[in-house]
This record gives sequence, C-alpha cells and structure tokens, in this order.
Amino acid sequence: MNEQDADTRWNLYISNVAGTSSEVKSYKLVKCPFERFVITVRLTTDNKFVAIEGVSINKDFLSYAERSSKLSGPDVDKYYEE
Amino acid sequence: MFYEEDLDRTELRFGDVLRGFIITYPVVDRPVMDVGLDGYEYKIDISVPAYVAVMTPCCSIGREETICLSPLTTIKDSFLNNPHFQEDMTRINRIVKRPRDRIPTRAWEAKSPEEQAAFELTGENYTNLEYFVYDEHDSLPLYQVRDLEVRYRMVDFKRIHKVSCPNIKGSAEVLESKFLQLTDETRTELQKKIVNYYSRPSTEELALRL
Repeated sequence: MNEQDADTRWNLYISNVAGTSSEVKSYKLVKCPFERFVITVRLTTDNKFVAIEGVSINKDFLSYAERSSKLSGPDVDKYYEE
Repeated sequence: MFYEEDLDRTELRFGDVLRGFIITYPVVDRPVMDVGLDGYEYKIDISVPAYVAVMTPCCSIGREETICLSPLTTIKDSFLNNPHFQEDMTRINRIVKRPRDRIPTRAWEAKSPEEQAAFELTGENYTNLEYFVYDEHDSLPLYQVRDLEVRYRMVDFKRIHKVSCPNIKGSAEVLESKFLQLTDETRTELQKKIVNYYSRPSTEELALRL
C-alpha cells in the first residue's frame, strides 16, 4: 500500500467511525519536488488543490559536499587525547 | 551480530581479522631530496602484530598480489571517559545521534550553557573518526583498561600498511590465517566509517562549497 492509498483509507476510516461519511471529504498528500524543496500538497481524491501541508529540504538535491558537510561537525578527537 | 559464526574459508573479505602477517613501515627524518640515502637518517620498523584487519576492499584483494592491513590494537583508555561508549564500545563505529554523547561527560559539563546549546545544534555525527572498534569475542585475549578487563580491539585508519604476498588470493595457508570475519552488516559499518574518514571536506572546501 502506498502513502496516498494509506491516507485515503485513513480518511475513509475516520469518516465511517465518525458517522459523517457523507460530509467528510477524502484527501491525499502529494510530495512535489521544487528546486531545493519538497512541497507536500493536500489534494482531494479528484486532484483538486486544498492546501500546502509542509515544505522540506530536498535532500537528493544536495551536492556530495553538502551531504558530507552535514556530518562535518566540530572535531571531538581532542577530548580523547592521552 | 558483529562477527560471523562460521568463517568463509574460500576467500578474504574487507574487515577480516588475520594472524601471522608482518607489518613494516619506513621512518625518515626528512624527505630524501638527493640521489642515494647518504646523510639521511632512516630506518625500517618491522613488527608482527597478534592480529591485523584487512583494509583492502573485497573486490581488490589480491590484485597485484598485495593487500592492505592494519594492526588491531587495544582501545584508548580515554574512551572510558564517555559513559555512552562504556556501555558498548562499538557505538564509536556508528553515527551518534545526540551530540553530547560524542564527548566525555566531563567535557560536556565544562561547557557553558551557550556552548552546550551551540554544540547540540551540530546534530548527529561520527566521533573518533579514525578508529573502528572490533567487538569483544571469546577468542580475543582479555586485557586491562583501567579497572576493567575487556576484549575489544580497534583499527586506526592512520595505520594502514601494504603487504606483498603472491599467495594472498586463494592459498590454503592464507585462508587458514583468517581468525574472525565481520558480518555483512558490520562490514558495511566499517565501510561507511572509513569512507567518512577519507571524504571529510576541509575547511576551505566547506567555505568554497566545493
């Protein structure tokens, strides 16, 4: 089951449990890469835009040096000198 | 599991622990800029460590009849200053999630609240970048570190030596020298840590974002 299916099924479950299936719409979350970012968009099941759910850094976009630098914090070897 | 229960006696692998290999390294007081060695102080040190670890990647072992080895040494006393490592020394091999767990307790406590906050912002990272700790194994002799008896060993990436051995690939004697073998998961940890050791960008590279 992919993420979108899971989201849709969850919404259907919630609407059934709440007894409001005729009133609650089903949504799905779609991740859209945009330059350095990944924008998570909420759409209806018929692909109509509802809202932007979040924005995160697209890690695949980072260069090798940038990925390396994420693990290049301060050198702690000095604390273990003997 | 850190080590394979059954050794593969058909080939050597990256990270294998071997016995019986000679390590040599030349010592010079300065670069030899003339023809010949007259007037230069130099020597060649030879040692036979009890255990060595294979530092050649699996696919390259035996090419040109050479192999790279690093002696397995005892761990540093100072590792015990960090309770996070005291629980399990092989944590040194992996990325440490909490920045404060990378340094000894005393060093953490010596930092001001501002320094601690800044250090916490450095995020997850490796620690003791040039070392990879080999877990305790019943076959490894005990030794004393402060008041503890341990069987841990470690490899220092700064001390990797090339050995020429025409029989390095497939000879029964060489394969018999295999003492311990890492599991695939542990070998991947070793691979990632040594890659990190060599791939660290310099300050200049970071500044220039090369």
